[in-house]
Amino acid sequence: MSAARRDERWKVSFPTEVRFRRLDDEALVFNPARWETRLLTTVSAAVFEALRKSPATAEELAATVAGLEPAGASPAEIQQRVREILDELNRFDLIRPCAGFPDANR
Amino acid sequence: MRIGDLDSAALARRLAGEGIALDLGAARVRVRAQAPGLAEALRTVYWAYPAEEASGFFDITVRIERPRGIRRFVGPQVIFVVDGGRPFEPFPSDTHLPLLEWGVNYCFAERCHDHLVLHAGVVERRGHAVVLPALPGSGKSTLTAALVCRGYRLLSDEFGVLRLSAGTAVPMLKPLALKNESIDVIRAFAPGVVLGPRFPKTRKGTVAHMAPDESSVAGRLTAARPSLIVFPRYVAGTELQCIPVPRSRAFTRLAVNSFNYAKLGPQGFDAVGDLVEACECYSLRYSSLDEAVETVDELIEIVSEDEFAAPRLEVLNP
Repeated sequence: MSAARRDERWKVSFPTEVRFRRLDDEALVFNPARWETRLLTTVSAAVFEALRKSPATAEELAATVAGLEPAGASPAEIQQRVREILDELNRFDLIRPCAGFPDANR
Repeated sequence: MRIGDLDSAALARRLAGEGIALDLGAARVRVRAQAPGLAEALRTVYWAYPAEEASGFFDITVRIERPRGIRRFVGPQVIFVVDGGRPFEPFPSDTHLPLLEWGVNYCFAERCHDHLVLHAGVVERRGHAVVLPALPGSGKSTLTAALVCRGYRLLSDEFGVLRLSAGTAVPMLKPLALKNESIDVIRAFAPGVVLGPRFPKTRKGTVAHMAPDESSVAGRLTAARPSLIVFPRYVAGTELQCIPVPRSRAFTRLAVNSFNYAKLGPQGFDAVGDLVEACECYSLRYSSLDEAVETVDELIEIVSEDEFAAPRLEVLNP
């Protein structure tokens, strides 16, 4: 079960220091805080890329990546998948919740 | 004068005195030694290298010594010494060349972090460097040797050395270490190839070193831009299979395969990313060397068609 809340807004942890490289459908990201590299598969890469542009909620991100999910996936299923991705990115310290919603862009 | 032009006695005297300088491209090495038989082995596998005086700056300075005491006579051994330290246990005295080669590799991998260093063979044809990264036992050295026997320039057997900023592959040109069955496979593949003595019962089995050819030695100060990454894997009796590897997956395989990716951090990330973006990436499973070489030839043809005007070869420290 995902810990990411529906209304929680997320942002990239180290927006200026993080290294991000999109390679075809996937991406690699280097986390300067942990000095480690992660492979992001198609949907995870799209989620992270969207968060690099601006903070967003799981619902907003689900709308962004809907086209990448298998045909027939319901909006609820896509949101659930996005929340799981957010949990994972958070666990790797690549993203974090914004300090105070709706003051989202800091 | 080349090392091969010296007689063994003269080379042994140099080794016992000031030593010899080996300019390998990415590193300049000073070797001093007192080990019976080593001069003759070096003379064979480094025959095309210039016989330089041991002066100037060295990246790595090593000695092969015989221990004092009873080990000089009973079960004689040799010791690898670098900067006064002995990073390895002694080897039997008749495995002097493998000890020297592994020792220099160890020093390079431990120290030379101004480049991205991959565990990979690197060859070049028509200005296109081909990087062949693989884990030990994958058939990397055998395929690298076969490509060299078919006219590719050898940059490296063990180390794919890439400049961090420029992305060019720098030669780290050493004799190519063949192991076990590969020795006879390459001997049959190219009967004229120069192989050094066989060293049985090393920790990697029987080892013999293939001498770099004259043109590879002459080009050891010329870097080349990689265009191809080929992950080779020898599987006995298999049909040849060459399939594209997504760049993201090539990235992870290279990072795992690198000697110093973790140390370099963001610089390593950028260097590996630049490398895979500049290259077509393939996985090559093979059992026939002829077929594998032919396939790499075809891949070179493909990348050559995408040629742009940028120079692909670059002389180091012109």
